[in-house]
Amino acid sequence: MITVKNLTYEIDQQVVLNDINFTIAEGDFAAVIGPNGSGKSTLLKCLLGMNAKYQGSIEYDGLSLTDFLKKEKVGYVAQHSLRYNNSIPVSVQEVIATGCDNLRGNQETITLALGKVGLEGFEKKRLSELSGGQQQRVFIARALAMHPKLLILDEPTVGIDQGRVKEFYELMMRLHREGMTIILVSHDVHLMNTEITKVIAINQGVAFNGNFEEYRRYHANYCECGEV
Amino acid sequence: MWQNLFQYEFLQNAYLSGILVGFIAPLLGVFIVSKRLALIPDALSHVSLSGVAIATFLISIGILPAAFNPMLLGIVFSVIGAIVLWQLTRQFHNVQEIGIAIVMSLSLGISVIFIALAKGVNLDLTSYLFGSINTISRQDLWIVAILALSTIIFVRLQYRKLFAIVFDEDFIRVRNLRINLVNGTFFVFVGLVVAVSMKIVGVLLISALMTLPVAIAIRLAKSFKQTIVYAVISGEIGVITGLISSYYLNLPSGGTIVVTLVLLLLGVFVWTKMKKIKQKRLTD
Ligand SMILES: Nc1ncnc2c1ncn2[C@@H]1O[C@H](COP(=O)(O)OP(=O)(O)OP(=O)(O)O)[C@@H](O)[C@H]1O
Ligand SMILES: [Mg+2]
Repeated sequence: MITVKNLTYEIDQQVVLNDINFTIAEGDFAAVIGPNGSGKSTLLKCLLGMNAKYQGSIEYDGLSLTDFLKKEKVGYVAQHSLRYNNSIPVSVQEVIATGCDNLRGNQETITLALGKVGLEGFEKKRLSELSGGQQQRVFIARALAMHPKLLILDEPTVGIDQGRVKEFYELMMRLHREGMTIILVSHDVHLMNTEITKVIAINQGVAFNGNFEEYRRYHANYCECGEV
Repeated sequence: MWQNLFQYEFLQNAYLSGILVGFIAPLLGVFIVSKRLALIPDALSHVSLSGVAIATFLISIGILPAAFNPMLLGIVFSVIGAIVLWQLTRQFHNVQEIGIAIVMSLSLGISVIFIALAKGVNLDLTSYLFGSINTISRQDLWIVAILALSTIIFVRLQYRKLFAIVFDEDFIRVRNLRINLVNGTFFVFVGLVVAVSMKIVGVLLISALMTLPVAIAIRLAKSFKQTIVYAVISGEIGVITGLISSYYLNLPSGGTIVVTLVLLLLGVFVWTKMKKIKQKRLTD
């Protein structure tokens, strides 16, 4: 589904991503791992077209991102979904509506999406009155309301309590089995090892690229790049 | 007052245009404040003033006819300024505040220079700085009315996109929705509203009419829609109180509008604080 070739990205003449190559097939559940500052979020932003000035090529089924998006939906949960202006009153259902078709929040979709993240009955609540972890789950629900073909999540479990993290991974596995392609930046890959079809460890360049079994063996040998 | 209101056209012009601006300024203000761009109306009002100053200068040296309304150039400048600021906020996220500040001081500098150069033509600077609602003509009222109607229609039709952009532009870009046109049009409307409000509340106070009602509304609302409703209501309370007291007490309308809004903000602030304390007592 995604082919990344010779991707290099610089910020202020500093190389952040260096000659990245990998592919992600339809139906993959890919984990992107690497230490802080290794370029994981930057990589996702390149994939999503937010960092446009990269070198190399990123293709979606042979198409550019823009053309791909005309056919398929891509859901995104940013690393700090709390970048928005917290002082502005926004209700939970208004947030999720921005993930619904035509931005028109349909009550059924909203309720369903909230149910998936365990926030039943939160529709009318003001977002800023929720805890950080609850807010994060609202943003996950928004991405789910899109029914995306490809779901990209940047450390979605940060700030979420342990019980919910387990629930979250169960949800991801369910979605994956239903056919969704998932790319997940995470530090707790061990929680869902059976489901992961691909591990991409980066540290500027690709340090490792393979399936989970291979990654375990690799990780046992060189411990410096991943944080599993 | 009511009798005079029916009798005198200038009063009708003043009141109706005030009420219209009291509606659309907070309406756009909600989106502006949510985007953390509260400095933009302030900057645009100064840009608009520089247009007025340059027009006055051109009149004084005979390039423009004496009958030319300097406001028109003010409107043109404000719209161009809005587009420039839009690009600035889009492409230079990190430096947008400094950029806005530079645009603002530059246009103030230009205004001062051209007002000084425009010898012979009497530019009533205070009426532009502080507003002079009693000088609004029937033609001005029509301009405000058409602008108000088109602003409301635009926001109504594009509400969902505008909200989505304001709330999380990155996310909405990945949804592959066309947002540049809506975004740009929004900024043009802001430019127009700022320029047209200049005579009513004045250069120095227009941004107050766009931001103070929002500051009041966000203390009360639970959703974005509610924020808009409360902001418009507060804006109208401010404008109507300002107009009435300027009629009876002969105070400048722009100043009374802003002071009323700040008092309202204080009242709401105290009220919400007390409500919270009461709630706490109940739960304890
Ligand atoms: N806007 C920016 N300006 C300058 N440098 C940046 C910017 N954004 C990222 N960087 C740099 O790019 C590098 C990669 O950042 P990135 O956010 O992609 O890391 P990450 O792998 O997601 O880290 P984390 O685990 O902390 O989320 C870092 O060294 C960071 O300093
Ligand atoms: Mg990151």
